[in-house]
Amino acid sequence: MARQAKVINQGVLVEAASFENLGGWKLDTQHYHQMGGCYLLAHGMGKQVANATTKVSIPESGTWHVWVRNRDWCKGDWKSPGQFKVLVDGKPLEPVFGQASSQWHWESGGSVKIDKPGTVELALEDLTGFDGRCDAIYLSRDASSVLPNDSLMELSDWKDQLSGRAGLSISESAFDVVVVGGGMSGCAAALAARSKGLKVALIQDRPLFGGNASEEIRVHTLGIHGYGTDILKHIDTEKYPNGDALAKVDQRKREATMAASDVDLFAGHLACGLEKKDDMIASVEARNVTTGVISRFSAPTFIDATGDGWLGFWAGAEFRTGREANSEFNEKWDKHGDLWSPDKADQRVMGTSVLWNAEQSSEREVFPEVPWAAPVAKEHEATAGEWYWEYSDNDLDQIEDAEQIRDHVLRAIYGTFANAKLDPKNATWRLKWVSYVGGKRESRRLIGDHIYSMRDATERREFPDSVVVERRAVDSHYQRNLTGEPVDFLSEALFYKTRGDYFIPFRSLYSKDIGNLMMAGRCFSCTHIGLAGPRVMNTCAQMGIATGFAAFLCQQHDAVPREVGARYISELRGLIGFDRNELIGNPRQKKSSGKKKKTH
Amino acid sequence: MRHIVNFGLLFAFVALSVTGVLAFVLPFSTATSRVHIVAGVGMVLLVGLHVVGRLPYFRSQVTRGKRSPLSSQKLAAVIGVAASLLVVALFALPPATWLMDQSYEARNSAQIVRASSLTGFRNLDAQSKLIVRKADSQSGRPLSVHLSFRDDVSPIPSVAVWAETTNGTMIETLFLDESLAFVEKVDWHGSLVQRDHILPIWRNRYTAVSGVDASGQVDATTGATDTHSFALDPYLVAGEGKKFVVCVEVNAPGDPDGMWQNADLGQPSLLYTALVKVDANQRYRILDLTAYGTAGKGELRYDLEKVSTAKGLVDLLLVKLEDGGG
Repeated sequence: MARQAKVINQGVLVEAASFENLGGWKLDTQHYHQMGGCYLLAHGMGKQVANATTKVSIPESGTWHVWVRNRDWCKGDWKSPGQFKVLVDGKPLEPVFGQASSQWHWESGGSVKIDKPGTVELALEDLTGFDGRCDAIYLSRDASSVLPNDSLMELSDWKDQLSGRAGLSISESAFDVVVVGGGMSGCAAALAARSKGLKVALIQDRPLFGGNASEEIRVHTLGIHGYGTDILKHIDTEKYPNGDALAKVDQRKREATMAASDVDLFAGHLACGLEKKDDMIASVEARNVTTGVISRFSAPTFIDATGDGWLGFWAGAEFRTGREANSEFNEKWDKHGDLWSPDKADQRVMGTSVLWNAEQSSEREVFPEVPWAAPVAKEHEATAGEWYWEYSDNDLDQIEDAEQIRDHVLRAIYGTFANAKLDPKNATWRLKWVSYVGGKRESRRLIGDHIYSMRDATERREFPDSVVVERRAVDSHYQRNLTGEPVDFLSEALFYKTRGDYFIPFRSLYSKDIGNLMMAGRCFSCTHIGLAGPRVMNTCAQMGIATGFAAFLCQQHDAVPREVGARYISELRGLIGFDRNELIGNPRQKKSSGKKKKTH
Repeated sequence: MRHIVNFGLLFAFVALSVTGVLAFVLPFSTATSRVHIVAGVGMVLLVGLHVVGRLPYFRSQVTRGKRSPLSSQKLAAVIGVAASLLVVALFALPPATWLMDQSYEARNSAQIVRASSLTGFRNLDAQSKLIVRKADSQSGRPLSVHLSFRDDVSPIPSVAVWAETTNGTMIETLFLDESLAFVEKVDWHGSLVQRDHILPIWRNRYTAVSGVDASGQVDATTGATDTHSFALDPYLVAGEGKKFVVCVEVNAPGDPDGMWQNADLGQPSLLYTALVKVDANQRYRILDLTAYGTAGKGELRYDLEKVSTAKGLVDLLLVKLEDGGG
């Protein structure tokens, strides 16, 4: 059935995300807030992917002018890696897209003659297999159309107008708690809240739950279960090598758990804004990533498990990014100096990982030349990545520059693998899996009544409102190029041993500014070094459990999170299992064998 | 003494004649060359003795002046003929060229493989060999390849060593067993075998750069020259990020197994490789087992689990880059 495109101002808009058949293209939702769309990505790891196709109704015959929103993701003195063609009823438009500008832009595709009104087929034809990308196609009778691009608000409004979404009434649903972000923290929060009978909405921008632990990113879960093993054992992972396909097994377990939980699941929904009343969030809006249709979710309590702290950011909550000066929270460690914590605050953070691996066949496997990757990969050779394939830079923002950061690591991967393939002994290696979803470690940290810092962990401070427990070392990463490594996409871990359990207070899990907002996961209230210990997924999921139960107490006592912390903390700790349950380590992790400690 | 010289000259003359003819019409042989050279040295000594014994004759010819039976015309003619032959030979003029064209080397030049004059080798012991390739400039880094086979391996397998680009194009043959260097069909431990069945990977690579196919004919379709002109020297220059691959192909005769049952050929040749980065700090690289060859074809096969005992022939294959200085 042909998509019923709305025609406004003589134009027909086809958003790539709405294509009926994605072929081999991937729907990339990660950078919506930076570039204004959920785009299709030809992630073929060097092999052309199958065409994405869709049908669209053209209301009248005549000459239609075509524009394609795209970008050259790696511009330079080489053949652009992300090239693709657009086909209209099987006929390719003249231009090759993906090689014009390094910025997202509308590029003219010339004109096509439509003989009669009706359905035409649009197709995206990948030419390279190296991550060509298309956000939308626009057909207009007007050859001189000026299309919105730079202003994301204007672009969003325009897309809503042309798609007809602007005319739809927004569906509204009320919940007891709305959890935004379907990683380990969000899943745990939703399951905890639901276990106490709350009506829970879980909004997740990807089609799968698990975030960094999902089969899209494939980081295994570290940290202890604490008192939350009854929930965590259903959503965590085995300790497979990072990037391993065994992540699929745990994905099935997690999806089955979530499906059976009676939580209202909104996978494939990208939170895009919220409404506030005074210092409280009234509702959150989320778009369906394929249709773009907005739904509104209202609740008395919200949990920000987005990792990037989007709810707090939109609501105007105070947040921190980068590294604090070591004097601010007494976080100096002389042994490692600036690599650990700087004298003067800066914007360095732990970076984003993109995991990948390769496999051997019994035949020679050809890998294309990738001169565009060489400036990043340099002479480095590898046939697999691990957690230390990580990229950050003082001049890059892990949110605003997320696409550039992901792409930088893709260049590192392709270039490094190409280097390895120069050696005849690697002739049979072929890329098996390269993630296109970045696994972030650190970005915004929303500020609560307590800012969790290094000394809280290293001095193993106990708090009356402790709701999370961990014992792993404070484990901060720095980029190896700071100490002379020729490439910039590898990191090193520094471990400050705590020699025992340390605790996170509930005051670090709600916003000091937004009355009904809690945080679970890496956007909790902490310093850069404070994050370094508890940032792993089981610990973050413990935060989810704490906030999920706190949401229940908010409802029970008609209270906001701060009041729960002040008046009902014993109840909350009891629900979590403090002073009652057995403290569980990580049941997926083998006993320490004295080998080098693993990190993420 | 005169009799000794006479008979000695006879024997030397016969030896020189026979080995000369053999060297002319047959592939190069170290034994033939050895006999020829020894006979030549003997001939020089004997002729020297002969000339010394005939000194009175030469003296009398000089002192008799016009009474000498050797007239100045005859002397001039002798000198003229000698000079003419020298010029013809020196400047490759007919009939010297015609004569040389009839030699084995001339008739089979396409099949003959010789390493660069900058390359040499020596046997370290019965199981080991060292091949050294000097650089032609001070900025080049000399290269050596150490080949070592296990103690119980006998006879030593046939070996080819070459350098190729990272795209698999041969740059230069560094070493080829003498028994395989002069003819396509060789006596390989008692059986007549095509060279491209013994070392098929090297032989196929050689065809690609020389244009000489496995039958020894210049391949007209490729348009390649029959001269192996690719040179390693530009790749040995330091400071330019040069990379190349050192390849060693080995094959032992008569090692059949359940999979490879041909009694003469046995298991296939094995290819060992190492990627050499001229600017890297790593001076040594071990060559890794990479693939096996297919008799008569150049294709590489990577399902090495099909090969059995042949994988145990090699003890160590090592490539070393020296620091430079030609």
